[in-house]
Amino acid sequence: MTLLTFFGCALTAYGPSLAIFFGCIAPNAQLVILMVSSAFFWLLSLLLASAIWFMAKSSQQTFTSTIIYTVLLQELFRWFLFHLISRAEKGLNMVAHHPTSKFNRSGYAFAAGLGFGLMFGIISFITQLVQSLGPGVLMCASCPSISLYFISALTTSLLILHHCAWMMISFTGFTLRSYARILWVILTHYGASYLTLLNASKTISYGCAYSLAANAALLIASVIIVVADVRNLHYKSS
Amino acid sequence: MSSPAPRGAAGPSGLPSSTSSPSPPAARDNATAATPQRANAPPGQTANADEGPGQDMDDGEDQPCQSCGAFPARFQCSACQSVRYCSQECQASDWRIHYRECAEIVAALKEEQQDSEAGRVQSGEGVGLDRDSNLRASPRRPSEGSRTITNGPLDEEAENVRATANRPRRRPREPRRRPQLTPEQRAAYEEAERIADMKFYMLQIYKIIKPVVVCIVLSIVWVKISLGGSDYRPTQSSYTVFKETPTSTVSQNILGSLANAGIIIGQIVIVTIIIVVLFKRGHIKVLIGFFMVVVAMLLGFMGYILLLNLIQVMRIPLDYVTMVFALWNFSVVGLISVFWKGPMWLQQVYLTVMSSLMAFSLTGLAEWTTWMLLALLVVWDLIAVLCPFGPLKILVESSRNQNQEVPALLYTVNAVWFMASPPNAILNRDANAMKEAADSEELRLDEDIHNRSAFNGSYSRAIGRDGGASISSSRNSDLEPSFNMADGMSGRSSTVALVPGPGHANMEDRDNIEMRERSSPRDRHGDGAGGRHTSTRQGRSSEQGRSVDGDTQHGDEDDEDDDGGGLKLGLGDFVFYSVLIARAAMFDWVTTICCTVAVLTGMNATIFLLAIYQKALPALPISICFGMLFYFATRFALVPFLAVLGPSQVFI
Repeated sequence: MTLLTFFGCALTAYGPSLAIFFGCIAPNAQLVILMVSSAFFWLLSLLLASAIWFMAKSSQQTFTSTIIYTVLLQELFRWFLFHLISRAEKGLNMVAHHPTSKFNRSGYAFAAGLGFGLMFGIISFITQLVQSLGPGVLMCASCPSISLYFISALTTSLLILHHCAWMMISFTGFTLRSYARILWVILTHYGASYLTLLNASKTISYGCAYSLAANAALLIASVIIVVADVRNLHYKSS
Repeated sequence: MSSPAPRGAAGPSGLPSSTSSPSPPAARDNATAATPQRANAPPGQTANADEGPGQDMDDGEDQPCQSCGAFPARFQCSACQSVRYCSQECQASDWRIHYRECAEIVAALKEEQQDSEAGRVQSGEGVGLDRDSNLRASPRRPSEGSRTITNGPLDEEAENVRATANRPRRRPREPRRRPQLTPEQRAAYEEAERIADMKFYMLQIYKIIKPVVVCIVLSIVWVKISLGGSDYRPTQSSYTVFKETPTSTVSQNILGSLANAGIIIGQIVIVTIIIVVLFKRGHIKVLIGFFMVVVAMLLGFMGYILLLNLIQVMRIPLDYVTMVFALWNFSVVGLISVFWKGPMWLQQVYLTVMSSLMAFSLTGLAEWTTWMLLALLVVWDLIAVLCPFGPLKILVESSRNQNQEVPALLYTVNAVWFMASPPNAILNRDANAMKEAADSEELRLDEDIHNRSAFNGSYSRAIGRDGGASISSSRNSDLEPSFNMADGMSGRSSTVALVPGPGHANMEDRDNIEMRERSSPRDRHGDGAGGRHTSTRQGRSSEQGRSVDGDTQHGDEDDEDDDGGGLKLGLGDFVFYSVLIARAAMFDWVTTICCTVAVLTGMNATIFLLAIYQKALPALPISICFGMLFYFATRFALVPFLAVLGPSQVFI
């Protein structure tokens, strides 16, 4: 069971994003570099968050307050990253395959989002993944019939894709100064994080199912926004 | 990469010693480029054959890039010379479409040329051929001899190819006149140069990331395996004076580890200096001997330890005879492929494995000592590379001045890394390229036997890389040839078909010269430094031989790059990146990942700086600082943080 759990969970969590990575990002040197840098940015945000958590001894166990500043920091670094990329955009465009394409920025946003997402996925799930190699199994608190590892893997997989969508939406938002999009990103980010609190809830049965379903719904909504934005870009330009 | 080739055109004059004087760069380039195309092209196609001749367009200012339509399209397909591109990437992406037409064009060119030749000789085709082969017969002999030594298996193919390829390759090129450049054009050129530069750096980063990641991953694997309950973990070196124990106090730890790290660094410094002195005095063989001993020890001894770990942890039943046999083969093949010749991928694999073995052996150091050592290395790296009298800097300079071929060996060790990365789309072309390289080499031979003989020494060693040699050596005429070779290859493989427009012949001399001037400082630093450093490192290692302490050379590193040559990252950098991450891997997975990202980002940042400053830079400081910072931040804040979040399945 251990190896099966391990591979099942690993592929569930990282399969989609790795497929995206090897299919879309890896062949393009520029995007790979962008992805590594964005992963670094995400890591910086998380390190800051963990530093705050480390100092805020009294609230270390209250996740609701932890989530507040963690998500805020991530959004802040997303904004920094946007500024960095838009500063470097001229150079990036020069080296792009199609220097004049209007979709370049979407591409950068996507790669950056995947960097955020993969880093998030690895950092938050890898410890559990390694534990799943061990002889025992932990059950999910709200859905005692499913293992905690599998629920976490599903959540990770969804959130990685979420990060890609968020990054693209917020890049459009920052570019167009569209506060609605920025707000949507922040709200859904908080929403997604708070929803995962249901996973461990002892009072709500099937909390993990609600959390996953709601997260998937949020993801679909975000993807629709992304698609609409890209279509707009396409029509506007052509 | 492509931009450099032009420099090559003027190469021979700039090269004091004729070690590998790249004299007929144009011919070589063409040859190399042409062959693969021909090989790839389906025979039956008849597309735009008529387009072929007469397509010699000159400056390309008037012709957009075939692939993306951008101006200025300064590189042209070296085989058919009928299409232009703005970059190698564009060419690579367009190759799928272009190769057929290219083959046609080349065929047409050949025909045309044959006709003219036949006309000249007046006795038609058959005689023309004969004459040709006669002419060539004598020069070819020696070259063939050398070829057999050097690249046996490729011979036949090369031979075949030659039959078809000779003519077009040897087509005499009329020098072209370059129109005077207007200021705008000049500006456009410069802009294009900048873009090409950036692309180059980007690709280099990309190519470098792969081996670094592989090396890091291997070290993590070794560490994780050896932590799985093995009795054969590497131990503290006997050089260290202080043994950390759980009971020692912080101040004891700090002082003791400082002493340990100081001893190790002292060894590194001394070895570096010795190597610099040896090199300056020209005792290259001694250096090579060192390196061979070190590599043999590393592969044999550390390979043995690692194997013991694997056998024990994985519970593999294995008898001694088999193990000794396997180990012997492993290290001898490694020695041969690193120091003599071998498939490119094999060399790369060995270099990667060697670095990871070295890193693994250094995990035997106690924790505090490791951190102290890394911190001191950062300082040493800065001093050695950047100070006016830094040993590595001196090494670079002397290599430049001496212009020796032998250091090339050292270089190759290093350079192999990069070259290895096969260009994405063009993998299959590589084989051809190789063949071609050989072929072209030969051609060149024909044309100038002298050079050849000089060249041979390095040639045999660098066989695979030859093609590259032509390109790169021509490019940086003041660098070491063989070094270049290695490098060039990388460039080359990716560019197979491309000859940078100007490189094309001597026609664009003026431009070439300009370029060369512009880039030469960089080259120097870059190449020289890179190679040297590496070599140094290597040398150091050799001295220290067995691991533990030492050797590792520290890194100096530099990544450098010259336009065409490719970025060089010393093996020492690989080793110390891996040491840091292996140390992190001994603690936890999250720290491992964080440190990996930090190191990679630091490396990218270094390369960007390199692009800005264009001189040899130490590669360790940024990466190691990031890595250490992240290690401690992760260890003390992030890991506990995640330990709380994880089990509650809260995702932030």
